[in-house]
Amino acid sequence: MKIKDIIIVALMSAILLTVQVVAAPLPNIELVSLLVIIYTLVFKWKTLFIIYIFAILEGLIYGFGQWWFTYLYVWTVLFVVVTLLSKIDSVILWACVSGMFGLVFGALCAITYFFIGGPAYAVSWWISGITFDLIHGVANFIVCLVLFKPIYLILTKMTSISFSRK
Amino acid sequence: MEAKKTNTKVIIIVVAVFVVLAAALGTVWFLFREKPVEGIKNITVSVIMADGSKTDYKIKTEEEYLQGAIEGDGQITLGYNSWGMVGTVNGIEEDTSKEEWWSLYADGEFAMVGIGELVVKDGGKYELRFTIGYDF
Repeated sequence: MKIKDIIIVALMSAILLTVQVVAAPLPNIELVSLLVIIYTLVFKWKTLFIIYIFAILEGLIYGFGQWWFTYLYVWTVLFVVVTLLSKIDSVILWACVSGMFGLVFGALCAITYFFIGGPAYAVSWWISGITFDLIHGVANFIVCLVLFKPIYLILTKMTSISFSRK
Repeated sequence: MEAKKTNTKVIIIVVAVFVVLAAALGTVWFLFREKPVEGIKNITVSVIMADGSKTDYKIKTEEEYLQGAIEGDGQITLGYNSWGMVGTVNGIEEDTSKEEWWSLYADGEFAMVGIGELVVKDGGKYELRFTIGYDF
């Protein structure tokens, strides 16, 4: 990675952290999923650096509790899905991907709880949070539908000036 | 042209999966959600401060959700922050800049729903804990 790339990765990680902290009081309404989708489309594999820097910073702010282990894979799952679909140019597609990610977020997190407390604990934990997953899914869909284009345009414009997209 | 057709197909599949997934999740929620209990319930609500001091309140209520039970009883006063969550209990207000917040527990478990959606059960023990920090 070039120095410019490192600076952009640091900057994007900081933005990701900032939007997470700012939206934290809103129950399951977040911009992190949207940004991870856009970062993956724009920065490709370098997004993994952003995701893991973000995860470490989150741990430093909120503490490395059980929840933190979910951050080691949930965003990477989204990264992989977006990478697989990255050749398709459609806001509706990304809104649906973001919405689906919100819907399955609890189930993905429950994987960690499966190892901590067993299958019964994981399932009950998942079911008790389904209301949040439904809100998360619908909110992600709307947020992505509204904000994808403007943020994507800003980032692509910015990177065409300063960032190696290889 | 062929690539465009394939893309349209993928988009339709993703949209369909999203809709089916949302419907499936909604169904699971509907079937497994905690249903409100009718009739009189005797519950205990404890207010626990950061230093561990605890005050118990015995409440007899016909309300189905905890918020209604507490507000209808009147022993505990609740205030809400700008996000609609409990931000003040008995005049003790959280200061989010110091990572202070009121967490809610039902029968010793951290509540996964808000106070307005928490179903009241007879004999239930509920706690409002003044919590500092997010690693709890």
